[in-house]
Amino acid sequence: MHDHGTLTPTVMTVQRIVEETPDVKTFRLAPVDVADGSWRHAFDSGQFGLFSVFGQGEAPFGLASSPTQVGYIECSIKRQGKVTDAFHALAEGDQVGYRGPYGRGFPYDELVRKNVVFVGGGIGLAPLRSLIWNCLDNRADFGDLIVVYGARSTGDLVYKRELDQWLARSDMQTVLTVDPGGQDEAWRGNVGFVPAVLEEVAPTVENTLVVTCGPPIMIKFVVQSLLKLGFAPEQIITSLEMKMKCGIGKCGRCNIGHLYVCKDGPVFSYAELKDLPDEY
Amino acid sequence: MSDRGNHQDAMRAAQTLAEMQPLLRETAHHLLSEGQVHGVLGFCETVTPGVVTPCLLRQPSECQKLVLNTACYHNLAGYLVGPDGLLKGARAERNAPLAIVARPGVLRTLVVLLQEQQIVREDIVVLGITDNTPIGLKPDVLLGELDRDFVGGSQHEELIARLQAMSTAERAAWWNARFAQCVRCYACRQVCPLCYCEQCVVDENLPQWIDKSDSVASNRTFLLVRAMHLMGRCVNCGACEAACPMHLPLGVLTTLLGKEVQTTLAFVPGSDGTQAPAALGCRIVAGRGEE
Amino acid sequence: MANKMLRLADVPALVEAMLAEAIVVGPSLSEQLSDEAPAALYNEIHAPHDLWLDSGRPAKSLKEFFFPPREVLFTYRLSETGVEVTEPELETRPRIVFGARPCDAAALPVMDQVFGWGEQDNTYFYRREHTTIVTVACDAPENTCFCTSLGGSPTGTAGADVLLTRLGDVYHVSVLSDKGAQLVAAYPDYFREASPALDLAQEDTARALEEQIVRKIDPAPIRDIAFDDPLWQELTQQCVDCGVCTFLCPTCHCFDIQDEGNEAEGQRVRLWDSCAFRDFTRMTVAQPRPEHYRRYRQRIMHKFQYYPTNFDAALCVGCGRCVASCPAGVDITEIISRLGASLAAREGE
Repeated sequence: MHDHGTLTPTVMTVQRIVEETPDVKTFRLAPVDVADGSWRHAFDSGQFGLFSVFGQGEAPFGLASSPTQVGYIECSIKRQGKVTDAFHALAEGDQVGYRGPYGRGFPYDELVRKNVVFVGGGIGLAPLRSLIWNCLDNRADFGDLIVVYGARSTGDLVYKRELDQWLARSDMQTVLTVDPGGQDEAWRGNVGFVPAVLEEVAPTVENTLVVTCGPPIMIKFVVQSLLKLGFAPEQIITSLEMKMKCGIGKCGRCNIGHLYVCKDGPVFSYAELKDLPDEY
Repeated sequence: MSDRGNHQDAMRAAQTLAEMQPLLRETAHHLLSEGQVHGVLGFCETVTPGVVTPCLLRQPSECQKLVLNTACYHNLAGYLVGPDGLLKGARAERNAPLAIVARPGVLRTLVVLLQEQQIVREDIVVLGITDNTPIGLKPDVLLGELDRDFVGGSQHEELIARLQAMSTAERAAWWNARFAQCVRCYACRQVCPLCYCEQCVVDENLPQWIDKSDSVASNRTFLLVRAMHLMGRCVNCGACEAACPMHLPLGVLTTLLGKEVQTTLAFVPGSDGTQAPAALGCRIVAGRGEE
Repeated sequence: MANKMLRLADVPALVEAMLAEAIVVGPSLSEQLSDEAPAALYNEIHAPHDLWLDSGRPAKSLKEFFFPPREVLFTYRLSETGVEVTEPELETRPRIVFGARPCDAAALPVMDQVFGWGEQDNTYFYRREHTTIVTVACDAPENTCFCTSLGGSPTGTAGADVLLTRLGDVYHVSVLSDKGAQLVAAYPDYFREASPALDLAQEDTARALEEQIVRKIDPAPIRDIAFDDPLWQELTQQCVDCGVCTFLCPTCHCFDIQDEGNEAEGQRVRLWDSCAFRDFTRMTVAQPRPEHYRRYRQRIMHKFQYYPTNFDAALCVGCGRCVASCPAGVDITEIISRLGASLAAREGE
């Protein structure tokens, strides 16, 4: 029966704000009434939530922290409109709204005992970061782990401290790249577009799943590269971005054909996507 | 549609629209077969008796579908402009203009759109119907002359008199009761050829000028802002009121604002193609202010 | 459940009795919309004479009583200690809809599917559970009605708790659900025993009324229509991208969520929205439906292909409001016929 509104968020405290790039910030959030670090939020990497600044509105963002993280959740937000502007104007200690987790996340169980290649572009690393830490926290359950991540310029790479940690680890391979012209003097990584770099890395196809997230145009070319490398559509997993209001399959604006990105996605395999109407 | 029968009452035609239909079909056929136009924007019948729908015909053989009668109240000029307008963008790709069926209200609308440089005269072939009112555009083909065509708001004269006799408080209450009924479907805006803004103020969210809610206050703001934006431009064609699913008397607003512009600026939108738009060439009539 | 009989003359007293215990909603003219063209609306009524049972099809559907055009989800207020979020109190008095059209009642189980799948929408179902629906059979269906093509009829029973069918100066009362039985039992002075002859008369009337629905469509082929059928671009050229059809539609349920207020206090509201609007799917970085025909295609496909794929029924009850009220004369029944014909022609090739 009616206990509380389906669309009413939990009030969260902004515990910490990290400026990742000039237009991306990461927000660490915990419910106001569980601020002691004991909060456990059950979700799957790849799921998302509706985050809101009261008075400015709500918008969907992928959960960027690992489900193994206790005490808080994180989301990374790129400044590009009304709600995201409002998030960027927040200070630590401010309160915001959160409801979630929603949608179908990455198929974690299917990844177990396989090699996993994470291919990210720009802010698209956010949901992958959740999965990468989730896998690293259960490292023994997986085969090879390879991260290929790129951004327009060195200044646009997110989670720089964590990228350094991943580069330093011997139990995973991390390949970073920036678009031509986006490098600075200190840059020691690759220069080139993500799909081209991915083709150079040429991960082994057998017993491997590829999880990719980034700008639609990058995903399109990454998929082409993967097919060229011999991956089957079923081995390619991605996450879509659509305008959403409810997050629970009712408001009617994120559908692609009969599927709702908020409910049936946002994670889809390329095998599923290629049969969907071209309207995303 | 039965509830739009009031259009018919306003028609006291020397010649009726239906009588002009054969000439329309013949002209459209000729223009298309000769390649003088790439399409004819007119009206076709629907399966529902008494309901017509705007249509764009491209083949001479289709011209028998064209109809002309009092149900043809939609302002076809709306299809020329706006983000999806038929005359937008691809102008260079076409080798012939578009013919448009235009009753007096549409003719006046075309004048305003020409003045506001939303369309180019050479892009249209006007199949016009005139009446005894001043119209600032000579049709390329005159389909016929009506005694006096329907003008939006003309059926509201009695209502306007009644409203003007009310106290301000009574009038506000009367309007608020109507504004409360608005469902914010934006049909009035969407059918209006002069609402061609690519970004409407009501859709802005940075800042949010007008709430999206259908509350009395925001409905009032929306409808009045729209009316004010059309002041000195609106030709009172009646399309907005005819489109309103809640039957709001929007013609009262357009009529009152039109009268104000006429009295203050001696300007009737669309009546004179050589006159500068009201907002550009404000001429204050003596007695209402300084020159 | 045993059917009953209600005398027309008893309706005012019955409604009076209901008003003492419940909120009553019905077709009425309580606020005349314009001086020229009055139309009935479903309104909360305050006296029996407000009801207008033979009004024809009300201008708007019944959906706003379950899914309001503007619903306050909560208010927020910034205090010393932080943000306080308060949800509005829901109406606790029971509600009776008296005199709904069968098509409007039939739309409710259709919407229940969407509001119920996955995470259930609490306020919607709270209102559903607190409302008993009494429909009245359509005496004079309009030429735009096509309910019989979608499983309904002028005496359709879907979504209703009680159906009244007028037979001269009495109503035949069909009791259709437990809620309906409770309602009828609560007013024994008015709901009287019905004779088997009255049941037979009701069946005859139902058949006669059904024959009055002359507009027919076959929505089944649309389940197979191609997303990229070239017909889509041509079919809906005249549509002006307004929200008339979606807002008057009893089954269209798409909504927006907006914050209204400032940093210190305000409300989060749920508002009706429409797939016809350009901004509906527009994001800062992308617009999946930039062209007009994509938006119209979404509406038709949602009703006759996507929703049926998910729920095995159409997202349409054939009320005909969109046909009657489209400012551009777009006719959904005509569009379905043309799509069906296009599909048949292609299969014939």
